[in-house]
Amino acid sequence: MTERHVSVENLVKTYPGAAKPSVDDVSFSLPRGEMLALLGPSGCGKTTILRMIAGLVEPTSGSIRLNGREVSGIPVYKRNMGMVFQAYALFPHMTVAENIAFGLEMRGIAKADRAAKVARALDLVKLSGLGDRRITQLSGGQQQRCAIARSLVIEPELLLLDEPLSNLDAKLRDEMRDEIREIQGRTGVTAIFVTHDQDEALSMADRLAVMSAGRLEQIGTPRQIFDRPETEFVASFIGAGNFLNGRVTAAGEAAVDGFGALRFVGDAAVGQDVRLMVRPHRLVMGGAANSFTGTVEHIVYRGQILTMTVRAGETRLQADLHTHAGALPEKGQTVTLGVAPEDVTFIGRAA
Amino acid sequence: MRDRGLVLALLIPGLLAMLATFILPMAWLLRASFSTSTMVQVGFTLDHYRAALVDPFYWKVALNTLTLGLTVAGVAVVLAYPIALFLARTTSRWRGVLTALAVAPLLTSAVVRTYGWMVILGDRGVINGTLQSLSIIETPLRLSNNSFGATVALVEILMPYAILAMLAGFGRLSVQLEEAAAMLGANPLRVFWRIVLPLSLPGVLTGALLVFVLAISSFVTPRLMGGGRVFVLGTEVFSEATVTLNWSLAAALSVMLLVLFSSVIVIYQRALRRLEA
Amino acid sequence: MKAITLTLAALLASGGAYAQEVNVIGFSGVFADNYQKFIIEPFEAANPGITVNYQPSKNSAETLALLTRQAANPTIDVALLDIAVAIKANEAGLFSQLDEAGVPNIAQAPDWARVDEDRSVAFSQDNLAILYNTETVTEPPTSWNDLADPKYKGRIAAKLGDTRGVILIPILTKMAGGNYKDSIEPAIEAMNAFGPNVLTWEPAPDCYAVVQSGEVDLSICWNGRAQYLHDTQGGTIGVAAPVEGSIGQTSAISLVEGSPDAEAAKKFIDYALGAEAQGTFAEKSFYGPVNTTVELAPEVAQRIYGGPEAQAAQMTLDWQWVSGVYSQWIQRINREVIAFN
Ligand SMILES: Nc1ncnc2c1ncn2[C@@H]1O[C@H](COP(=O)(O)OP(=O)(O)OP(=O)(O)O)[C@@H](O)[C@H]1O
Ligand SMILES: [Mg+2]
Repeated sequence: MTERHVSVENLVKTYPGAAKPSVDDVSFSLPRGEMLALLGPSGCGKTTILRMIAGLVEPTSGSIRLNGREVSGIPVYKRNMGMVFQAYALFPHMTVAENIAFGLEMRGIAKADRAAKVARALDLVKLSGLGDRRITQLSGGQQQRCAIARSLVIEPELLLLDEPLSNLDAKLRDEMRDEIREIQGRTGVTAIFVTHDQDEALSMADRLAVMSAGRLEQIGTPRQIFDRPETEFVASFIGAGNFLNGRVTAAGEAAVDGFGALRFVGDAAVGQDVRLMVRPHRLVMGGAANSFTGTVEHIVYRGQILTMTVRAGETRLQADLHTHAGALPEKGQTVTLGVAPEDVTFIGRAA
Repeated sequence: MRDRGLVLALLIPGLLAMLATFILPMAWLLRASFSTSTMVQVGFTLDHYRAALVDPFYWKVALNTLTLGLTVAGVAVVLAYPIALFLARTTSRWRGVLTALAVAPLLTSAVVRTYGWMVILGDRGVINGTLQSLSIIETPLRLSNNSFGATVALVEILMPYAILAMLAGFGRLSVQLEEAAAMLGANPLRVFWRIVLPLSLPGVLTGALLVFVLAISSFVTPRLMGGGRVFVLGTEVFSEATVTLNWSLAAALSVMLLVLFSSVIVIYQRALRRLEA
Repeated sequence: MKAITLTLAALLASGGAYAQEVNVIGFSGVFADNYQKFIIEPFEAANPGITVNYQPSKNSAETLALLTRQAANPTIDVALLDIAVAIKANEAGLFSQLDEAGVPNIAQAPDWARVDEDRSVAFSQDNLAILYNTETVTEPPTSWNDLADPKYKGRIAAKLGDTRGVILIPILTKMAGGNYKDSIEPAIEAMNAFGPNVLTWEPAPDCYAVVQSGEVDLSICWNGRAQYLHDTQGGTIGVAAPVEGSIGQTSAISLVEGSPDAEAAKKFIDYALGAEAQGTFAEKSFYGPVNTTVELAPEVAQRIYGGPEAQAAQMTLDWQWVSGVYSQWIQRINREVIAFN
């Protein structure tokens, strides 16, 4: 692995009075310049991790290192990290420029340098000319940019973003998504951002850390997380999936109801009961390998895709097919679906 | 159109109450201050205003009033601020109870609390008694029956108002802003100076104004705690109205007090609004 | 509703053809109790057709405010007021003139007691006295000069910004050989002599309680209530009547102009000013009578006026004259005495 810029080891946080830890033995690390998304359902501990890294919350145990140096003893204001809060937390009694200059001022940077840096930061987030505005005179998107500029202008070691896009409407969210990614790329700052939106995580992050109930489920690139989920939770949290039970009959092959032999990717000993996952949109009509023949039980036409449920015996498969102008399957019809072996993921032993 | 009628109808009870409890007495006061008789409202004269304005004693009393008001407001704000700040920021589940506790003194009358202070600060009060029994002092310290006693009692009596006004005015304070400032490199002291103080200033100033207004219009506490030595406009109005029965002069003094301090309030509010803009 | 009222009126008219009512407003507290028991009740006994309702008022200023409000349409027939306030009320024309034909007993009142051409007649005098705490003061004061004794430093309560001060001024002026109508300078000087001894000029809750509680040794207060408290509160409060004599806080009785039942009211006023009522009231309440024919028992006189020397030195005031300088004197006390001590 490349240089570890930020690393978190065995991090635990139990809030006073809480029965269970909110963050439970979480470890991960980031190389310099990487953007990591912390993803998971509400209450799984994402914000808590971010705040522990920032120094706003004291970890119960575990360590957080920046450039290999333990940061736990360092107070917040000396950690040199930038934070973009969900509600932006811009100072209402200061102008846009004063907000951005605040961190520079705290660092004792001379006024002239400050002005130059603020101007550059405003430029970076496309707010040039709005420096004298009051915070209340900015739109939501502009406030967001201002918050990003404020946290970047101090040239932080690490940029932390807590659901930075959740207060924006859908269109603006898409726009800012690209923009944040672009700014992060341009500045090369290492960044961790929290989200519970899988699209956001998949499209923005270099890697995703998926969490559930305080534990880290899996960390990996978007493709690894999507195509090779290691747990059923990850598989179902990110995208939809058909989960199948089978028994391994030969290397890379399992007997599954409806399929007969289903070839898959993953290590499992012969004779073992396994759980396999097939994404609905990876199923195709016809197909020789891994074919599944059954009756169309339910069908919804959605323009671009056709979603249908096909049943054989006790097994039901959901398939999302691309539509075309020709004949499409109909309810009650018997169809044969196929899936490539590399699109069948082994996610563990059957329960 | 119908909405406006409805709004007016809804306003009527409030307006009537205002009229009965505020505007009518005010009008009576104004009328009485121009009366040629000291008791009934007849004729028109400016004599009472003239009498009050040319009398250096009343100027001195006005100055006393102002000094007392400013001192009490200043001290009350300084003492109330940390308490209000704590109450506004604490996440303790006792917060409600603590807030209630802080303003609980409002549940007892100012007169009762004034008597309490007389017991504490009197020559044979708790403080002098303790100091004497510890042989720290021989003769009792003069802690009450003077302007010191009046100031102390007023500060304590009015502090809950300052706390309430501050809590109401601390709306823009938030923990997240403090965290944001800390993240940007501000140590706790600078967080206070640059974030907490400016954002809480409107509340502080409102509290100060409220205490000031209540202090300058007080008369029971200055009278009782001041041992009769503290002459303020409130006590003068009271004595003109009830002892010498010069109701017209009392009315003129009240009107002047009213005009003087409403202008203070107006100017202050202007300044405050500018600060918040 | 109307029918009931009419029936009631008819009943009253037929049943008690001569039922008359006198509404009296006056001081509250012990005064009210004594007045009810020793003046109103005997009067009602002697005049079965007349009912007297006594309405206590917080102080004379409040009574005056009420009478002023009701001037056009009074419900009150008789008012008992501090004489200085009564004179104020007469300026506003609130009271009717009395005469010896309607109220024969005014003939027994001394001249000074008949103010504003018999519109108000003094009926009692409550002497100004020095109260002392009998536990802390072993040697009771005997003279007004004792107030300036340095041993009382910080041990005196003196509420002088009202009638108490106005009464003390003539006393102190006379002691210095002066006349209050010429100059009160000597009195101001004398007040400043004991001023440094004063702990409070605004004793709270009142000038009696601070002696009872031991907060001060001496207090300048009214005799009547002090005697009552002496008798009822275990004798902690002692009353010293200075040998130089004193003056009483004077209360006057007046007939309200436009009184709904002036005839009955005059009858009551006449009784209240008479020797019997005056004598009993003095004996029971320790308020000095204002009727030249009343002879007090020596022990009663002693408790009202003090010893023979003090009795001989007892003074009266030209209240009409004093009311002209009343507020000016209070102003001088406030500004030249209290403000400096
Ligand atoms: N200050 C606190 N005191 C006690 N418990 C807390 C505190 N903050 C968070 N928790 C608890 O810790 C758990 C994790 O909270 P956290 O805010 O980290 O979740 P999250 O993943 O950010 O959720 P969301 O997506 O809703 O923001 C939750 O169960 C929450 O109730
Ligand atoms: Mg969160």
